[in-house]
Amino acid sequence: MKFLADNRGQIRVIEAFFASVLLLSSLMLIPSDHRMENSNDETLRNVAQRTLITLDGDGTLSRLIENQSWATLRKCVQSLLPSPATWFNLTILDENMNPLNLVQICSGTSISGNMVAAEYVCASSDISFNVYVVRLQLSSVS
Amino acid sequence: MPTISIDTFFACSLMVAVVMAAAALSTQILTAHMTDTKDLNENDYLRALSEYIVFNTGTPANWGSSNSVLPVIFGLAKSGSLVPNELDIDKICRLNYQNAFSLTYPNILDSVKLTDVGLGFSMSQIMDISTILYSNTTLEDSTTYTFRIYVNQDGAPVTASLHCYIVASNFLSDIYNNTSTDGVSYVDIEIPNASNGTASLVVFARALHDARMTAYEVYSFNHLSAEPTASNAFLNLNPLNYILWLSSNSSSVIIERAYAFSYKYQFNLAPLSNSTYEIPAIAEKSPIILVITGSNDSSSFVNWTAYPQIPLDAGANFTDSECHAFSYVVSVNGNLYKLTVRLAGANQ
Repeated sequence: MKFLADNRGQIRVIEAFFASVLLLSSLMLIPSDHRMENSNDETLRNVAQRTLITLDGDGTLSRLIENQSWATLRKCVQSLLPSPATWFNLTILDENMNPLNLVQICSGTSISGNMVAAEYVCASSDISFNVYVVRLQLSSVS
Repeated sequence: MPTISIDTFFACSLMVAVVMAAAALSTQILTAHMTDTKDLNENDYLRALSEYIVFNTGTPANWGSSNSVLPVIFGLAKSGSLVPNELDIDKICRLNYQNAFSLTYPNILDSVKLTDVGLGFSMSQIMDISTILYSNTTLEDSTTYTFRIYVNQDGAPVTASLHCYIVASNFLSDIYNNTSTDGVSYVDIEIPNASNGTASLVVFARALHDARMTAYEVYSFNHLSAEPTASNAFLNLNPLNYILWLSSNSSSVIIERAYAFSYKYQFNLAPLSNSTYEIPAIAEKSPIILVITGSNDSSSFVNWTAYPQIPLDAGANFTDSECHAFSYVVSVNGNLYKLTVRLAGANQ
């Protein structure tokens, strides 16, 4: 009975337990690898920006927008992406940021992965000088 | 033994076990994290390096056009270009080891100014053309060949317009056609039986949705003769700075004709000397295919090369080794190509 009644040492076990919890919880402070995602996002954003610049290089982009040739525009973007394993969605906006393409210009159904977007302003090459804002969203399909 | 001693023993054991487990776990996590961070820094560094190489002209800015000039600082962009992402046609040719004026790998590394980086380039056309001889029918005066031409991009069929040239000994003809929605077209070519020897079908395909995507393929076959000779069996063709330099492997080679083909145009090349021809500078957005016909002893041959000399693989070979690859769509003389720069740091 004396053995069971003597519980002075139990506080050390409780202390040790709390110390263990404290020690293990400190592991949560190690930063996650979100910077790696940022680097991949930056690469994709560069790809999106270069794709739009290349597409507008000879006025193809504004010409296709003027003609509302959305299917051709989709083929052009698809051809210019360096990797076929890249999902894209293209949105054409006027100068008041109203969407002009009523049909989706994309490479398939929407995905749940990380997505980046690049915006590019282009002007039509005819005398109307309409201004368009082109938003290209990209995501890597693994 | 008092109870307090047993409790203290358990408490100490628990603490030691937890500390050891935590140390092991944190070592594992921190090692992985540090490796990721190092990879991340290396990836950013190598990406910046590849963009510098692709989008800067290097020094001197026109190092590509002179066969005796080596770059002091390496860069592939065309000097003074207003076209986005445009590369210099001659700098590309000097990356191709088939060109007699190509840079060696040490030349490239010296001009990149880095000793601890492995560097490789591969360049290809946006579209692939696959040509096979489907059938042939020989009549009294001529032979008709039917070719199946398949145009695709990354395996997906492309609707394209085709312009095919057929070159044989003392014979030249051309035909236009279109691929269907499945990317396939059948082309019939008739060659007189009087013209025997190696013949070549030069196929240009232009995507209907973007004229800057023009690709080529050359299909050589035997017309009433033995198997076709390899493209560089008797002659090496080295285009640079809009001059075609010929170097013969045999003293008995006789050159009959020299042609330049683009998607829309064909030219007879004007000789500048016995071994050089002037390549016309055309404004059309198309690769130029340079074709030389001739004979060596009794056999006739058709040699060809492209200007720019794409596809190409240059620099380090990263097969079976880890590297960072950066892909770009670039323009050479207005036509679009895919360029992949492969880089590996010293620790890879």
